[in-house]
Amino acid sequence: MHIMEGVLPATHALGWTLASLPPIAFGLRRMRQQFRERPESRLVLGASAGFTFVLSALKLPSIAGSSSHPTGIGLGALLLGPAIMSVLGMVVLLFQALLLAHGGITTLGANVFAMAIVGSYVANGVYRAGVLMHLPFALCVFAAAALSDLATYSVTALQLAWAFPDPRSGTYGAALKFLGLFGISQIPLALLEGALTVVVMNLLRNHAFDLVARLMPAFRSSPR
Amino acid sequence: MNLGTSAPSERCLSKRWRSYAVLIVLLSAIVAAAIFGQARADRLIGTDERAEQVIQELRPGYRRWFVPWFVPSRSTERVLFGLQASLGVALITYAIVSYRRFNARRQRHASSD
Repeated sequence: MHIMEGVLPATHALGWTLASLPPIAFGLRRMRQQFRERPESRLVLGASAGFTFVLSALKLPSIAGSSSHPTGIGLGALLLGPAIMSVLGMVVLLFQALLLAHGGITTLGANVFAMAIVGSYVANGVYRAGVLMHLPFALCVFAAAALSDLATYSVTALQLAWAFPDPRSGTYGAALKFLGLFGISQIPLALLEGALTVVVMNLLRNHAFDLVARLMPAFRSSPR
Repeated sequence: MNLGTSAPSERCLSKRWRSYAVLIVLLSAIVAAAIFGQARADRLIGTDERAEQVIQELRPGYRRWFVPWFVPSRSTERVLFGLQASLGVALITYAIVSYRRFNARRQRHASSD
């Protein structure tokens, strides 16, 4: 789920766009640096973009009687780092906004902030915290991908609540309404995304260990 | 192939190919689910549309200030989502094939040195 075209008031849309610009600019700089230092990371970038494209195309029915989709941000955020994955997430959102009328150009800044930026940094932070706590590798990856997905939808709920406060209970009441709406539909999808990310990460661990370990310093030292 | 009598490198290659085959089959199944499973999801209201309903409850009469120039029909949307998933699968396949070539080249260089 992304915020639909024209839904956010213009000032909010502009504000979120401005807030997204510095992390995207930083991500582009990191991407150039990464390609210069490790040209082979282009392959991981392609695979991560592919994974995000596939997962965000999966419009699945949820237990709440609505449909939604996973984000696919977690894998790339772990392999390439959150800065680069922010840029990649923006490309996916732009593709969906232009070709699928899913999300929108006016709400691109807000959606980039929620999915590409917050989703990526949460995934990376959760993984690093898991490694520091010596949790099993699969659990670290699972938690990172699942919580990244949930963080995306939580931020989207808060963005909507800020723009459309409840007349009686204010932003807090609206946040509860939006969080309740997304929480029910998104929790099973977040779990599915976590499981799929673990499967792909294990394949990479078995077949491209050196490549991934060069890109992802915490990977080599992560618990088995 | 009889795994019991094959050489270790051959067994390893076969195991590796099996993993790639499993991944490609899994991704193809996902693309199929994106296209055909969406027919079921189409009958349900999307979470983004649900959010719009909540906005209407919070602020009755609120209208979007900008509407997209192109809104695909349900069936076109299904095809476009399928195309998106196919593009993803193509990118993953390209990355796997390129990595195998990159690795083979590196091993050749290592063995010639």
